Amino acid sequence: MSQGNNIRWLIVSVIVIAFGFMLNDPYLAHLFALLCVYSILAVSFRFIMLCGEINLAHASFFGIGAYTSAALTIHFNVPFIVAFFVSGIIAAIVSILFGAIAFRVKGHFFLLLSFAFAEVIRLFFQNAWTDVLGGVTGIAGITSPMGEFYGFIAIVTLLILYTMYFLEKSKLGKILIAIRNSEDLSRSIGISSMKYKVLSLVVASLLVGMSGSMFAHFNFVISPEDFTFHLSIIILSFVIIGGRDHFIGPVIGVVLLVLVAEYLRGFGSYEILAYGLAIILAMLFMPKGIAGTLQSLRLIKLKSSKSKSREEAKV
Amino acid sequence: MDTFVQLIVNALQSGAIYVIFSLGLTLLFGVMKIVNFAHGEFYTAGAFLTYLFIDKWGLFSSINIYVAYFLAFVFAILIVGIVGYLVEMTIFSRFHGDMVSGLIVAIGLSMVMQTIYLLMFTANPKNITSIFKGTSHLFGGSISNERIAIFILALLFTVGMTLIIKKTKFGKAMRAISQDKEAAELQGIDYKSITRWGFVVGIVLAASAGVLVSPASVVDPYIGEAYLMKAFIIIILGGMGSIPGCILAGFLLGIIESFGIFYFDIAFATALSFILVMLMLLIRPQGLMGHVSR
Amino acid sequence: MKKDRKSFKKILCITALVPLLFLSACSGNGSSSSSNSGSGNATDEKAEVIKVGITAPMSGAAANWGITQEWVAKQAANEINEKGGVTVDGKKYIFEVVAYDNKYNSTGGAQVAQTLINKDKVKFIVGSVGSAPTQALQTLSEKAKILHFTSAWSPAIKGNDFPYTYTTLNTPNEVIDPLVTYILEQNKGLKSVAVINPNDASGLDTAKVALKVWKEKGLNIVVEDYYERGTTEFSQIVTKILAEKPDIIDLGGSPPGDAGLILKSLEEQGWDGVKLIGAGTSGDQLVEAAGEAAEGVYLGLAPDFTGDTATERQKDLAKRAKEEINETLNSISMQPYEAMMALKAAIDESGTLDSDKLKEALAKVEVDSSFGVTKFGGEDLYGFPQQLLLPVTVTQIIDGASVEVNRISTNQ
Repeated sequence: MSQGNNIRWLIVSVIVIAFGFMLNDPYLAHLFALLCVYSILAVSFRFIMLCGEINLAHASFFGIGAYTSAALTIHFNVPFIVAFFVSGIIAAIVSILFGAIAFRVKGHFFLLLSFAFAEVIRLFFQNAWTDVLGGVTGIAGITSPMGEFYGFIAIVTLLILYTMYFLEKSKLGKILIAIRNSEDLSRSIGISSMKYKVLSLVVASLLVGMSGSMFAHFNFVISPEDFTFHLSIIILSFVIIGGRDHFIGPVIGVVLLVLVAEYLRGFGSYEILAYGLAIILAMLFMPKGIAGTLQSLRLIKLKSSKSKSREEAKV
Repeated sequence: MDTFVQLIVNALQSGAIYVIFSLGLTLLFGVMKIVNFAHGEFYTAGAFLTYLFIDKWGLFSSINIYVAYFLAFVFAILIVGIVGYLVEMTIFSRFHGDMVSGLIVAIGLSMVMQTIYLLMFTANPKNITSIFKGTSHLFGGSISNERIAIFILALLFTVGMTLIIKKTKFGKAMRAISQDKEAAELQGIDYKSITRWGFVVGIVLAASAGVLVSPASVVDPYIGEAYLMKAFIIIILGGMGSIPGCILAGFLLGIIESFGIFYFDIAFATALSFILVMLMLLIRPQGLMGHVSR
Repeated sequence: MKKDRKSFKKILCITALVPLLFLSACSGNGSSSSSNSGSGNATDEKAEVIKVGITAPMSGAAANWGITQEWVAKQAANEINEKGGVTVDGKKYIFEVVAYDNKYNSTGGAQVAQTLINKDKVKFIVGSVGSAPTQALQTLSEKAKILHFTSAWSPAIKGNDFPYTYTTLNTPNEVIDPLVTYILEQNKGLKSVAVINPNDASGLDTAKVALKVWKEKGLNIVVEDYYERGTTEFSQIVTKILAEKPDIIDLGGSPPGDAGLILKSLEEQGWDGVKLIGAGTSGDQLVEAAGEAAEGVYLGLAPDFTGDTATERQKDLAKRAKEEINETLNSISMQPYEAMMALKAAIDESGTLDSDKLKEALAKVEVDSSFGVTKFGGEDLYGFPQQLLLPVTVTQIIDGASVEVNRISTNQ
């Protein structure tokens, strides 16, 4: 990556952080925070997709983080910053247990397994420990933990995104892509596909758990319905429509689709109709996603995870 | 009322309903590898069309009610079949083999269809006049005649489907494609055409389920999703693409629910079915009766 | 290198343009909604606008509530505006209704709350449906001292902890006792009851009240169970209930679709005891969903808006709702109407838009509700008079029609 490029992304980052600290309008601040958190969700979702799997339980780990943070701060008076990290850790631990068992199957089967697991987690949020988790109504009265919380969210989001970017570029990322391209071939050269898949899941879930904690504290209420496989599918749509072959694709998908949804908000029942149409049209006319289409129209030149691996293969 | 017999009767008749609905999905998902998340909406289409023909417009009110329903059934599947053909042609055919894109586009389609139903019919559930009125008592358990009819029709449908898949050229072509696309094409099978018609058959099955089941139930824009969840459970347990597996798993689910709810409670039965799904996927991913693919 | 720089500039421009475009579109969107809002034809051009908000589901199984609430609120706003609106400090104001789909969950609820309060800057909330989204709303509205009129049932979101929240329809707390009393008078010798509810906020809230009332009346509760929302097959649950041989089956807060399926299943399995939906909100919707199986069912929260016991205003609204939006009105639909009338009365009385002074007015003012003139009450139960006192109506399905069989006025 060229020096020039580095500086440009640094400038973008500074702008984003500035947004975080300077947004005074609570409505815009809430929207901004949602964009940040969804970006983390989308990029980490794609990170797992690097090894070729679709995890419909992604939103469940988000929920585990949110519920952990809410419960710890409200019922056990744990300070936010501790709850923040604990949320990530708990989500990661659950993901190890899930991944170790679930990655024994792949493709269709893993997709369905993650879907079933997502439902089990939802039932858990709804029916277990109702005095702490709040049952069907969930938890309300979660508070914002610090004055410049949105600035905190902006900084954390950028740190997480940069981390994911470097992980993808690193040896880990290349191994995951190799597994996706051909699991058998990778295993034949000694790569334990199980180990690396679980690793990608754990990393993603750790970060997603932490973002769940942030979500709980800027949304102020959470309920089981917020973390179902429906959300995972919406996140998947952000990734696919934004562009699954580029790192920045999911972020583009998030920004565009969330803003589209905001614009449609005044349309009542038609909102969902228009959103569904938008998804269909986006898939029909931009099957490679927005980033992919912009790339092939040569409007921008972005690092593609697909073309990269082919370059590697030439070696 | 003998409770134990009633539990069995419940299991059988609810199982039959699940089986009819899952037949279409196992075909689409198991054989054609299309993740049709909008499958439930085609069920709803069948149900709403029946509602329109029989209750709202009373189109066939002057004829014998059995003939009326038969006509409603024929028209409903004709309309849904045409819509399905167009949908496959314009939307799904782009994504053959790309499971993820197909999934996303199906979600979009599902949102669009649900809202159209909402705008046309409102969200309030509607009752459809039953064809077979009255209840019967079998061995100490009660069951409505409507549901007996559904049970019989479910059996007929499964037999019919099995025959189509096993005996007809079309069925064989579908199976060939699901096993090995390239080899099938080398044999001269038109992949595009077979997939398109396979899709139509799948969703027509869903719509038929809608026509058959809705008189015993209600219809609203969102009823398809609930059945879709159950259908996924069934095709996983039974084996994707396997019709005997579908039957077995459908009735198995009926029994789990019937006895699980009775001896424990509803949340338990629901959680149990999902945990079974997870166990099945881990221990025997091809399901009870499926074949190990690839 | 030059190509990179050009392309990067393009990205930067696009990323900057998108939020700008969006923000301008949003302000455009805000004004476009005013053209079809409740500002009637006969209004003074120079009147200022008071925006009032609604947060309710407009998609999904509960869509009827949001759609009807928005329509009813707009009718109320039209009615008030055509009569001259309200006057404060010599200035005239008219009402404009802004409604959004809260998708019946916290995420949607929080976004709608932010949009209503911080973007659209509504002055009052006249309708809220759904426990989770209502809680999301309250986190913002209570702090901002925005008067909030809700249809939610749970006492946990009312009272002195939520001083700006008022309820303008009856809840299980108000209706279940009179309903049960009436049923026991009409049907003697009943001993046992089964209480079935959906496993959601309304179901759980209703169950709490219902169980308490049944126990107080000396009934034996033989089954207490909760089903998942979205259940389509109820035969199994029904078998379980019937095995305990109850005299009465109380479907609590079950929505019409689920209740209809349960009733059909009860009919199939040959049970014909006393059936009630304690917090059933619409007899017409129940008949639409259940057909003949609904015969004889009692409902506690389903005032008749179309028959003899309905007021002229209610009959007119119900008729026009059917014509204009093809929807049936139920008690939840009416809640914003009463809210707007209460708001108008309070503003007229206090001559101000200040929330604390309006609270003082609300405590004593007479409200011209759709049922007739009434006031707020309920201090004993809720801590301050936040509950609009409306008649409790006992409805029964007779010959396929929803008939009001008893009405108890609660004007204290």
